[in-house]
Amino acid sequence: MNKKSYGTGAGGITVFMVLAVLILAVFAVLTMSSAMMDMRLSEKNADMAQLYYGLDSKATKMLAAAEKCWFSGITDSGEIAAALYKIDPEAEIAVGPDTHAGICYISVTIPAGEGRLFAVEAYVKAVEGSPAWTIEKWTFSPASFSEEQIDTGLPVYVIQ
Amino acid sequence: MGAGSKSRTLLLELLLTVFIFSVCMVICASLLLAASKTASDSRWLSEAVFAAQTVAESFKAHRGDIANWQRPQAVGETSVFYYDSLYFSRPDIGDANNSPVSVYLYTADGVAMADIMVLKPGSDQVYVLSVARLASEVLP
Repeated sequence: MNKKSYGTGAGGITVFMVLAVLILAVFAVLTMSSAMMDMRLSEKNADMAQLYYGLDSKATKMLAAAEKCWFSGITDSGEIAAALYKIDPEAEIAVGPDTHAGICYISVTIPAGEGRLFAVEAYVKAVEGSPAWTIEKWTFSPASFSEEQIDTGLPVYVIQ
Repeated sequence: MGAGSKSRTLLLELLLTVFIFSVCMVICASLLLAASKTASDSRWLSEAVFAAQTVAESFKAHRGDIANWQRPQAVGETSVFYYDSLYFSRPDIGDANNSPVSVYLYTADGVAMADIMVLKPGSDQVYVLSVARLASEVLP
């Protein structure tokens, strides 16, 4: 007489348990990975906002320094540029005073790391005895691509 | 005797299975909880950046005039704003669901500065943004 085996009782439960744990572990890891990627993106956006407003503040301080020089009677471009270099020694600064027109032109390019640049072009003149700025350029942009980096495989334009 | 031995073996295996399953579930649950907290922190940071940028652009657009800002709670050197999840200012004081945005105004070297701090309620997390405007253009 043949005895029948118990079949797949305990073994089946074990297999089910392994499968369930495996699936849940994969979901948990995926969830954690997704949350961490979201956090990294949020941190990047936060850092970028701080970088932009930091550069904006630096450029504003440079305009304030130029304004102070100009309206205190300093018209030498070298002296005005020196006052601006104190704020950021690594910036590219060009000053164009025009004493006849009573206008002082300022061009500032502040490096922002990783090839990014913050560029400002403006001029100030006295209007009813008070300084009035006209901003011609106030941009935050990546550095221009070099010719070697441009991929010409597709018929698209690269705006620089 | 053979049947009893098999039953004991089966019981032992079941107990071991349940134990291992429980340990794995605890680990998975802790991972999910950590993911939930990370997602919550990420969401707060994104909202804090939006709120800080809103205040920063308001400062620049309104030429530093506090009276034209979005209903601050205190006027003077330090103004406190409350924002809800839609970034509309809420005049409610002490609302735990809002992120208080503190703005500290001062002038230095011809520049009007606004230090903006967004605080996370019930936590010591803070997001800080500083914005400047020419003092000559700031309304008295």
